[in-house]
Order: sequence, then C-alpha cells, then structure tokens
Amino acid sequence: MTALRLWIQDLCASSTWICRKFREQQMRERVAGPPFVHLSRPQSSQLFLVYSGMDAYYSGQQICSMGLLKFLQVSGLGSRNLTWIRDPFFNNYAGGFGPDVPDLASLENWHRQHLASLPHVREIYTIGYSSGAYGALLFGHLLGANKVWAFSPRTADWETDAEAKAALRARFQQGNGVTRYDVWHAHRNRLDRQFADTIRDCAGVTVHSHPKYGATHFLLDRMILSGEFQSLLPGESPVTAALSPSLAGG
Amino acid sequence: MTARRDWLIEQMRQLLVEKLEVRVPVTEIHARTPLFQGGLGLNSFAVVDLISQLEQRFQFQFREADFREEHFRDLQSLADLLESYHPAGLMALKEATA
Repeated sequence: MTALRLWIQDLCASSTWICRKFREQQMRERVAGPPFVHLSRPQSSQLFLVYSGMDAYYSGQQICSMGLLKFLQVSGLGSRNLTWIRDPFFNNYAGGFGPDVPDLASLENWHRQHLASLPHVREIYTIGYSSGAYGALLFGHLLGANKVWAFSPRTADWETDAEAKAALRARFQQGNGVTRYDVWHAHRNRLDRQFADTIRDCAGVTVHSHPKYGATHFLLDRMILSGEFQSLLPGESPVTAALSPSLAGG
Repeated sequence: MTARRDWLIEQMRQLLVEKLEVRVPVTEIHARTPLFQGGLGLNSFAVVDLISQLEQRFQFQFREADFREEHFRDLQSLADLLESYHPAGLMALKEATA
C-alpha cells in the first residue's frame, strides 16, 4: 500500500499545469494554524529547523508524505530541538509568516531571535523536502548552519521558478564560508536534478544523485523508511553546561 | 475514571481550545472525540503543536517511541500515555493548580 501511495503521489507531483493549479488551490485551502511549531529539548545542543514543502500541504501538512508523528518516531529527531516552519504564502518564504513577519528580511530576523531564545543550542541544521528544500538551503545559508540537507528540491511557485533559483544561486555564489549543503535527488527525477544543478558548483554544495527509487519526488520518505536518512544525521550532542532544573525537565 | 484522569482530560480540552484554537466548542470535545478525521480534524502540524503544548504544561518530554497514532487517537488515549510518564508529578501539578 505504501508503494502504491507513493507512486500515486509521484504521479501527482509530476502532472500537468492544470493539475498543479488544482493542487495549489487545495493546498491554499488547507493552510491554517501557526506558521511554526517548536519542540524544545533542553538536554540537546542541536537544533533542527525543518521546512515544509508544498506537497506536504497537499498531504495534510506533513513532512514528505509521512505524518509528523511517524516522522518524529522514526527519524531520530524526536530527542533533539526541532522547529517546523511553514511557507504559508507558497512563495519560497518571501512572504514571511504574515503581518508581524511580512517578508524575507523579517523572517531572517525572526530566525535569529528564535536562535537567541535557545541559548543551549550550539549546532544548527536545516532540513527540507521539495519546496521546503528551498527554505532549508536559503536559511541554512543565511544563518550559517552547520549543515543543510535538501531533498528533492523545488521552488514553491512555477511562475517564479527561474527567478527564485537565480536568487538562490546568487546568494550561494557569495558563500558563507561555513555551511555544507547536501542536496539529494532521485537519479531519474529531471526537475529535482535541474534544481540541484543550479547550485551544484557553489561552495560547500554536494549533490547526491540517489541510484535507487527511480524518478520519485518522495526521496525523503524512501530514505527514512530505509534508514538511510537516519544514517546521515550527526550523533546526538548533549548540553554539557549545567542547566537549571526547570530547563532540564525537573 | 479517576479524579486525576478527569482533571487531565479537562486540562487538555482547555489547551485545545485556548492554545490550538480548535474550532469546536469545548462542550463538544469529549474524552473519546477523535483528534484527527471524524473529530477535531487536527492536521499533522497541529498535533506537533499539541505535543509541544502538553510538554510545556505538564513539564515532561515524550519518548520517541511514544509518537504513535494510537496514543494520539483521542484525549482518553493521550491521558493513558501521560499517566504512564509521571503520575506523581501530574498529581502534584493538579494540586498546585487547584
């Protein structure tokens, strides 16, 4: 059943303009609730910023096609600080979160304030799938994250696809001197590979063409279910400095 | 049901309405109301928000192995799970907030 579901979703993900517009309309109807959620793990010095993609909205605001509960259970990230961030306006995070955080600059500032509120965090990682990969790459770059994992990268809006990729490439050509970016795509997925190619030669970027799973756009699902994703993650890094009893969980 | 169980479920009902802004009147949220489809209709993102709110309010941390849908089916199953963590601590919290 899982294979059949992924096949159908792959089909939807690569369908025509009309299907895309229909899907986008469905996604807009699904957007509700907070623009981010955070799970605090005071014993961990690692923060994972996870960016949702459009297909995540399509399947009910999840990461890849997997429910967030399942993701927490099997990904190995449930014991580390986690922040899920959405792109409620489907424009590669350029619209921020809304009136209080209305644009990219203010969203970058929001990120910095969020990090400042987590003084026990020493390592920052970003993860994204599909158009969430765009967010992971962008904010990983802006924040100087330790590492970025971008799976099956896409932009959120086909009409501004070329401009968005060019803007990301321009930023990456400047480099931040710190971040390493691992970009993954299934070897026969043309659109995901085309995105990866736009930043392939930039500093710190390694593109991985996964030899299995054909043309799937749902590479992250496959890699989580196979255990490959978990093997990419760094070992857990506990907070070494003494924390107050309230932060340590009593 | 025990008094502690009733209290826990009441706390979670309030949390759903006040923090998660569930669009269902609190009087229509019962122990066996499904959290997902056919009930409150929480999506995946809202469930993680619920997890975060529960951890903050009850001062504990879920184990990764407990992030299973059967534990998040309804408030009854969630109360079962919460009680498995630290019933003594929950009782102390109940008394502190009484």
